Amino acid sequence: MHRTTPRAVRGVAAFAVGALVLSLAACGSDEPAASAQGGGSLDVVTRWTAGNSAAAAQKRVFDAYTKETGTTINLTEGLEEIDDQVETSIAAGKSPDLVIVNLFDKTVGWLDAGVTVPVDQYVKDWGLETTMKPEALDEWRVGGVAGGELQGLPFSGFSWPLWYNTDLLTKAGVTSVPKTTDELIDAAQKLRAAGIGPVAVGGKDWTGQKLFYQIAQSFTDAKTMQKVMQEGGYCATPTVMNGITLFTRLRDAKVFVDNAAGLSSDDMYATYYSGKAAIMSAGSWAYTESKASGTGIETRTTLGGFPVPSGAAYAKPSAYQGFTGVGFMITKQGASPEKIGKIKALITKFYDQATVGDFVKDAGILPPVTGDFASYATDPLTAKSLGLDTEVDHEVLPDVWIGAASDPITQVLTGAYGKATPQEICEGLDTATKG
Amino acid sequence: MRKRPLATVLSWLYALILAAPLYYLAVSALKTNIEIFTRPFALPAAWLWENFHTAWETARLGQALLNSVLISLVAIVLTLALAVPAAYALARTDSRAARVITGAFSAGFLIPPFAALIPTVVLAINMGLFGTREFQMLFLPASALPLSVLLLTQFMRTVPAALVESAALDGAGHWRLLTRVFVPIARPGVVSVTILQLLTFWNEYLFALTITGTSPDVRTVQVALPTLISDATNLGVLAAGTVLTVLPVYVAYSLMNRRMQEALTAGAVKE
Repeated sequence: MHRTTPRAVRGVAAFAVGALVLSLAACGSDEPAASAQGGGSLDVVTRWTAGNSAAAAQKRVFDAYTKETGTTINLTEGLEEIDDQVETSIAAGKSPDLVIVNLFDKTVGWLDAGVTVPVDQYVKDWGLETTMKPEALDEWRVGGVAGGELQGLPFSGFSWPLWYNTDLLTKAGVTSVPKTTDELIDAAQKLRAAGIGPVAVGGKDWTGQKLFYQIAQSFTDAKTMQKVMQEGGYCATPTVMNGITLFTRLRDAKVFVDNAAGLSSDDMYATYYSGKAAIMSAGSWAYTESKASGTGIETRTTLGGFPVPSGAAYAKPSAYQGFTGVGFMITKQGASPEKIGKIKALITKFYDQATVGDFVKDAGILPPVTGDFASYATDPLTAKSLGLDTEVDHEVLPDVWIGAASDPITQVLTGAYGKATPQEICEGLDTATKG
Repeated sequence: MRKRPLATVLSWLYALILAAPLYYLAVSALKTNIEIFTRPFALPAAWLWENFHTAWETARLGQALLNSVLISLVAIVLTLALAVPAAYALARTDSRAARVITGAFSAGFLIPPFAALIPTVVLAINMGLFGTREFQMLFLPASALPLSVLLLTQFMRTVPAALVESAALDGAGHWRLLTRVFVPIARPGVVSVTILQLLTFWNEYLFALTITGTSPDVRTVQVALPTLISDATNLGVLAAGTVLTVLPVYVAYSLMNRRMQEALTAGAVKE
């Protein structure tokens, strides 16, 4: 047995520490970033990541802002887990100043949790109150009603209609876009007979969740539906149960494409764009992507609503419209006296008419402010979408109401696109809602 | 030599099964979304090489690759610098204390990464290293040590005692024994640990996302890649980005794997 010599220990230790010191030196440190922050910068976390159609328009705003004010933007891209990312950063004492994010899941609770600040006064002080659509502001208020505290500033509005491939409908012998669920079942049978998939949907993700709710609330008024979404009671509410039964009836009539429970939103888009299915439910953010697919699908598509059943609570086919897409949430740090001026300059720049128009053109957003944006709607689907209000009734978008139960609800609904019975579905939703 | 046709067929079949996802990834990187879904295994109708450029520019993969290389290299140097001497000491000691220490390293396997996430985040915050690459450089070796030490200990236990005694009689101390006797003989083990841990470090996502974060200056390539995902992802670009992410580690693995084979076979045949 040999004793360890101090020299050997020192050698190994020096090697390890040396490697670390050299690497840290090579990496640099955070100090320059920290000093830059003190010298006029804003830390922004955004959901508009590089792959998003709104990313280019966002970058143009940031570049122009930096050029005009000299304030740099330290941009962090938020992934699917953006809510967790922001919360962890704040816990680490590295709070961003501004978060550009959807009002969904955990972000709905940020104001209550003290992560962000109410923005009612800012909207007034910054002169945005007169230009912003009241319905857009209301969706971002606590409780989703007028009078509630404003959790953030809505920006990216969206319409969420049904897309109908008119060429495929005609090919299958369907002469007009279905307006009732019976017509939809009939159209689905004809489409299947012609070897064409009927309604494409991502049964295992958010696209399936939204379509389910669209059908499930067919017989229920908005207020009751909001309450059920928020507090549960699916099984105990007869009109909601009727809606769930309608969903399973459509499913069993093979209105959805085969294996819908295993499909994702990407499958849905590809199936529809490639002409393998004639119908899908997709939001306005997909208008530019559909054109970019290079299939010419945008020229063969007409937009409409989901067919209504007899005795429905809505007179016209249904669609979603909302402003709970991406908006601006100001953190406590962003609201500090040294930062709020910079935040004001940046946010008001986003609401400039030309900038909103840029987002309409690039990303097909539904403008959150009043004004004529028809000239920016160069995409045919965007143009059609701006005039959709007269053809459809808007149902309750579940996002704000189901809040943090969104993920478990989606899991339940994956089963709904499989073989679950109405009773199993409603029980699953009640359990997921009550946590 | 007797031919074994069934074994040959099965070997080729197995190789094909392994190659299929790689082929799918490679051809998808040159296609549109529509083609990926409608003709998944066919060659691209039009070869979209620009997908690679788009992925590189959009996700800023250059900086992300640099960050991943830096973190992985520093982490592997630290891992080996700590694991090799530890394994040497454990291999050379047959005492109750050594067995307890070996057991302690084995217990490291029992801690699932998710369970360690929150304490690790708190540690990073308290060290003032949250949102930095430096924390990942220190954390990865710590997480890699249990497996590395146990593997290397087993390799070092194969060093013949007579050889060690002979070197000691010639005046070799611990440092010389380690560097001139144990490490050369345990080289296959060192290379195995290096390959294994480099792959682990390169592919690490959970801690890189939660602690290092998504800031373009510090994020690793595994964190940069998901920025290509949106509500309507261009899957061709995403696949191209994935190829760019996988390529460096594949090249490194190929080079090191050859070294490992050489090391394993060295001295196997008397000349």
